[in-house]
Amino acid sequence: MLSENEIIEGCARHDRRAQQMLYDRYSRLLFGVCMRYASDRAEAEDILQESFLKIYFSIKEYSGTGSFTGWMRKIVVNTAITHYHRNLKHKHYVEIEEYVSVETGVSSFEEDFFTSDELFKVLNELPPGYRMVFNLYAIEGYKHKEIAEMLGIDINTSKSQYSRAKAALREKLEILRKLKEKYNAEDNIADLQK
Amino acid sequence: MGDRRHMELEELFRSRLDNIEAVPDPAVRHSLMRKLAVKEFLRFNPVRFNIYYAAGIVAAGITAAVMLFSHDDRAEKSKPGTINIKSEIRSDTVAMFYTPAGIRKESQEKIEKQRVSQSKIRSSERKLEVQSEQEDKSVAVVTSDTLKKMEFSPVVSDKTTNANIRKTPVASFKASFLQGCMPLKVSFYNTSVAYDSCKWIFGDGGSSVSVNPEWIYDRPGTYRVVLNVYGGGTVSSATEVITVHPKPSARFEVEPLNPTGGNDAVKFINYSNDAVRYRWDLGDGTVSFAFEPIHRYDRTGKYNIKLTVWSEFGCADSITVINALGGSDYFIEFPNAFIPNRDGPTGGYYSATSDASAHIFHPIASGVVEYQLRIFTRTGILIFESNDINIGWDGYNKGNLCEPGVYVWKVRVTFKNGETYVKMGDVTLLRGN
Repeated sequence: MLSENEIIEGCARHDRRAQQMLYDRYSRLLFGVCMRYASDRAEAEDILQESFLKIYFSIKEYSGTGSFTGWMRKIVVNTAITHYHRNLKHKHYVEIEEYVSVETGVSSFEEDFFTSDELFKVLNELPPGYRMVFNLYAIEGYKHKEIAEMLGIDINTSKSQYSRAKAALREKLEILRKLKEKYNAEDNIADLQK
Repeated sequence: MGDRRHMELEELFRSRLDNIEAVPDPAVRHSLMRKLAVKEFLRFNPVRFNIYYAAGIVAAGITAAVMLFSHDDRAEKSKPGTINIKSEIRSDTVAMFYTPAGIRKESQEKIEKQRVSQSKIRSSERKLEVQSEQEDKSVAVVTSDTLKKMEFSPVVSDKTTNANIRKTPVASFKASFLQGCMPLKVSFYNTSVAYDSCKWIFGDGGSSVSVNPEWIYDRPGTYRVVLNVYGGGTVSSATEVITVHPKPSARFEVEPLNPTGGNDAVKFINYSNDAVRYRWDLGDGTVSFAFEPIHRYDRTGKYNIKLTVWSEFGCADSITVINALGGSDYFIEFPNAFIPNRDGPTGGYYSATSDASAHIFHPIASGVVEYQLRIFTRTGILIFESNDINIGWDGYNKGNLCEPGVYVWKVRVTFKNGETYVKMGDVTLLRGN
């Protein structure tokens, strides 16, 4: 096994083994990021591939300051944004009906109530525009101003999409929570009856 | 329960999804490495230039040799006996590379024998010796050392077998879903190798020749998807079964339709099909998971009732009935504009047929027993009052037509069930022609 620095140096020399090792070591983490942005697996895989090509060819530009993973993530996020713009014309719809009255007032959630998969699925169900803003703001930690520049939208659009994304997520989580509680309760009853 | 940590929505998602890992398809790695190799090759680099230069010369040499050989090959086909051996070798080689290891060895032995016989036939052709040696090496890399033994004799037919290895298509594909709810949109990814063209048969009568098609199954059922790939004169097939689950249907009725607030229990009668789980949003914030809930509303009103149902496969359907309750008997609604008749005050009497051209400002209402309508100017001056629901405002004040503009109305009604209702709004007085 090579260390991170050795891999980086190897990749800078276009050493095939180092390139493969880079992929093997980081593809799962970066694919997780891709999946958060993409609408489906196929798109996520496209983003991953493009990102890795960019990483391989621009690895010399990695200054060595700051975390390497963070640097790669940034590339992945930027690639995802490019993808989003490219696909925008196919996705230019929002299901209005679903997102009208959404403030449900629930503001906090139990840490372990939902599985990561459930959270992931809920996030994935958001319309692409909401998902981009939520990912960038809540998870990546960009500012609305930065997001507005990255996505080429108005800063207020970013803010309103973010709050709508949040409201939609809350509602979805609330529905999921009730369903889960109901099934948990049913399971308990079933256990008691045994 | 109490000691569990609570967190904000953002924190929840950040803590759980920030470093989530997902495993990409192994095919991605493969195709990435291939793309990388191509890209690096195309990218000019002085350090590696010599290698490419050398590789280019070798490639050119091979190409020239291939052309030379194929010319020769055509000439030879006229000789009887040669063709048989060749086609045998072809099929064996295919088996050798794409069958499980057990069979592999056997076919290699076969090939060996055939190669010996072949080389006897061709041993006189010395002019191709150089090229054949090259070919031998490239084959030896992929096959095992059994073939290396053959190096002493130039085997011309290696050319064909090698070309065939690359040209023999092997079909394989991935589908984004193997099962799902109707209508199911499936993206297919062609992961076949070495093919020139492909044909997809989706099992429901549809087909496609695109590489990575998308297909929507709009009927429930089990479908056998077949991918045929063509190349080098051979066909390879791969199949997969896609199951499309039926969609449940959400249907319900409400009884009674016009409950009087608080007294009548409303029964929801469930007519849904193919469903096993139900969720009712009863419009006043109540959610029920019962099959047929019974609910008492605190007050009459218009409630939007939504029923969502799930089948045993998790497929969902929902139906929302807007104003399901109380909508038909007790309501009052006002328009937001009207055009007074310029011929003079009419007194404001109207009926559904007499005011077809909207000369009079009046509500449509039902179940009203007491009624008071007042109209104010924007400055708050009362200009019209009516205690009879059959008398609306004709747009005149003390015999004079009012100025076009916005006026404020306020209505107080009592419905048959005793409920009092107060509402305010504005109306625009438009200028008639």
